[in-house]
Amino acid sequence: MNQGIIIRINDRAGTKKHTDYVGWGPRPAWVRQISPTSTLSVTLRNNGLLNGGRVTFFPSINGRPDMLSPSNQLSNITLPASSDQETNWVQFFIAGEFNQTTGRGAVSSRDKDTGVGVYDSSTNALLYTKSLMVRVRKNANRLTATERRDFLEAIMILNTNQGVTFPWKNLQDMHLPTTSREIHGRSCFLPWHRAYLLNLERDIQALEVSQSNGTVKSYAHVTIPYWDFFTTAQNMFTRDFLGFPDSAGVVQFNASNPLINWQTNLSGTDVVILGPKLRRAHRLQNSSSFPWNPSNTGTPIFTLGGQWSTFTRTQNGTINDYSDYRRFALGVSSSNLPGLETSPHGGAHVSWGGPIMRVGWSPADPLFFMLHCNIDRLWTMWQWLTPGYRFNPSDTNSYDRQGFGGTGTVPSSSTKGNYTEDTLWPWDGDDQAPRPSQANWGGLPASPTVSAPGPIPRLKQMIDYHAQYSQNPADHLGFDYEDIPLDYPRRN
Amino acid sequence: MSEYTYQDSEYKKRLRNEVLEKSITVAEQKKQAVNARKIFLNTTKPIDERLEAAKSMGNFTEPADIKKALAIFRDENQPEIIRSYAFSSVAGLVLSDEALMQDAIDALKAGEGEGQIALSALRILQLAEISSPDMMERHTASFKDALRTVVDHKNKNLRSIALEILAMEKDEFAQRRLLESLENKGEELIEPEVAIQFLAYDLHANYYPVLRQIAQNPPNQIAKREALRNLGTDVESKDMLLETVMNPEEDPEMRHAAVTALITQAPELAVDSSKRIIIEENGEHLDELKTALLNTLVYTEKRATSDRPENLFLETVSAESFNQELQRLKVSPGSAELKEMIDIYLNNR
Ligand SMILES: [Cu+2]
Repeated sequence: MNQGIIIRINDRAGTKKHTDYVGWGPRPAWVRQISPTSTLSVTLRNNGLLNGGRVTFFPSINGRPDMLSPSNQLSNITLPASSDQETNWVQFFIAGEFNQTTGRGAVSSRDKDTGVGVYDSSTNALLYTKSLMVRVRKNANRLTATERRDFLEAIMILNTNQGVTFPWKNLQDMHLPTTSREIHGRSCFLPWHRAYLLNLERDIQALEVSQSNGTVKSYAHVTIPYWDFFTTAQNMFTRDFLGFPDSAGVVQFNASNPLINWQTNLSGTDVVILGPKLRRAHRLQNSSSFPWNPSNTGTPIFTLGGQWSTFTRTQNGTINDYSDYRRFALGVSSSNLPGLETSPHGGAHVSWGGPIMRVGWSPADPLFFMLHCNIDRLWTMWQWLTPGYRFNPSDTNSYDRQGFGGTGTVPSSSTKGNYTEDTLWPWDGDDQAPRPSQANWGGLPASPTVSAPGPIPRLKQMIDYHAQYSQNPADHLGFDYEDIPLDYPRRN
Repeated sequence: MSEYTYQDSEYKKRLRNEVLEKSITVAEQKKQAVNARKIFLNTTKPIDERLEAAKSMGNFTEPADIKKALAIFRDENQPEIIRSYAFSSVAGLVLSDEALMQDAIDALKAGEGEGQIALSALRILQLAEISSPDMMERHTASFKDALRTVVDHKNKNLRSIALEILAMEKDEFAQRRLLESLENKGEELIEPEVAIQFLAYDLHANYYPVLRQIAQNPPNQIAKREALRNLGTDVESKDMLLETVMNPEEDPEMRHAAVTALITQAPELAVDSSKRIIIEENGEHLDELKTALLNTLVYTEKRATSDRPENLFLETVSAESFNQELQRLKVSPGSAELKEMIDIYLNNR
């Protein structure tokens, strides 16, 4: 029996599509009676599918979540008798449930497998259930067959020329030899690539394909999976996922894998030849005798010394060697110490033959975004695990270049794009020196679930990505990693 | 923020403890590394002992060690493998030291002995391209020059990486050498199936004759497939591509490669041929090919047939009858993968 109750998540007006997604940061939600005859006392608790995602509830205080009171239910909420749609909403907040003891989150494995049940407080009768999804970025090695399929379909659609738009080609054109200095070799490397990943992920989530039965297939539930190259990825480099190279380094796929149609639109090449035309040779650059294969061993992300086979940089080394951003990201090359950009990032790129091995060509391989998703995750892990946190955008330990960057003829560590207050190229449309000369791909796509960072992101907005520091849901960028939670505070 | 305080969760504590446990091992390793470095840098020790030490010495960070390692790298009386490890161990300096970057380029170009030192140098130069793009840009000309030099090195691994980087850069010298290698003029630089991929980074019309020749008279099946794939823009290959597509005796992998090439110059023909194979040819050995063809139709059919006047579209299989045949195929014996793909195709109409 429908008691005439409605819940909205992230969008009270209900004018947007695909708004019912949450990660670890509290998102605003509203509940009301549709045609009330009297006030009604209700309790909210989880009522999703078996093995689906689950949420944690927060009461609202002055429009903000009460972070001191997370709970698995919200009891005795009084829904007003008024039918005025402007005033009879009751606000609360929800976030994906994360078990801080086990380190496991109650993430969704399918779209809308999570539910917020509204129960009559006096009779405990279920009045209404709102379905949603706990949507986070996952380890690519552990995706279900459906999760893989949806991701592969989505990127294949983006890499198909859609006449007026060609999203994957646009992404490739932002990451060329001629734009490399804007986005590599300086502090903005990590924030810039965080925005770049978000651009792809929002492109994916906006996709809709109409089906012959009249329905529409949405990809709003899809996130970019990460390639954890510190462990074995036996389920990733298979013919039904990212493919497996033959003896000539040409990646082979199953006949039903969407990627058999993959095309590599390399810059300055007008000729488009359909795939599978992807070269990704299993090979380390320094050894023909070592048949490296990420399907049965972790990636040998070499440090800058010794033999790569013995000296690989570990996840722990990456996260714990440094507590300040500058050394964490860039290392100290004058002392022969690598930062994240060189190792593991650079090492992961140049472990292969094919486009992935070079900056200007690498986004032609979908593996690029999964590699970078893990680089972003390692940054996130460092931000969360370093004592005192590294989410405060105005703390030099969180980001070393504070304020506005200067002018110049070419990008350098002192020019704009590299400082907290700067807007990020190319979303800011700035095509004047020191910026690269093209920036006409438009702003960063909007998300129906969050408003940040807006079409023209500022660098500082990338740092506190799920509002651990600001505690302000308006700062959420709308993505999360399955193994990195938001910490809840206590009263001082 | 100030009114709040945070307490480490059990999860965070556990991760921190793991770090702590590992740092004990790391401290152990660091102790070993200090010893290993001493042995490696001691030129009076036996080579075998120094090579064994190299496995655990890590990267040199002490100024005195760095100085010694650089001296060993430059000492032509030291064995090649020792010099290559010495350079690898200080290679991070290349990212910020312009003179050392030039040394790396010189070592690449020199390509001494078996090419071990050159490979170490090349590896670090590839990293420098990523994380020191400003410095690398100033050395582009000499880097390319060094790469061109090692194209003829006896170390195949070195040759291959150099050729691939140059081919990506559309370097005319490398393109000419790859073409000559394909044409069997002089010595083979790299396997033909790899050479084709490198040339495809920047496809030129003057490659077509040799690609056609390889497609018709292939040294191996992979080379044939790669040649077919890259003839998509060669108008003269249209008939040959179509014949390959429609030849029931042909290897299914070649037929699919030929279809994807044909889509580039004759999309309607490619779509129509694919449909005919799917509904007219029989046998379970074709299930995989049919699955692949349907898969390709899902992503290319709409594009191939849009923006074209109806009357120009040479359609021998109507959409209606094709869909009916697919329904029939779905209930006939066949692979689960094919049936699944039929559903995906029909859902996407
Ligand atoms: Cu990049």
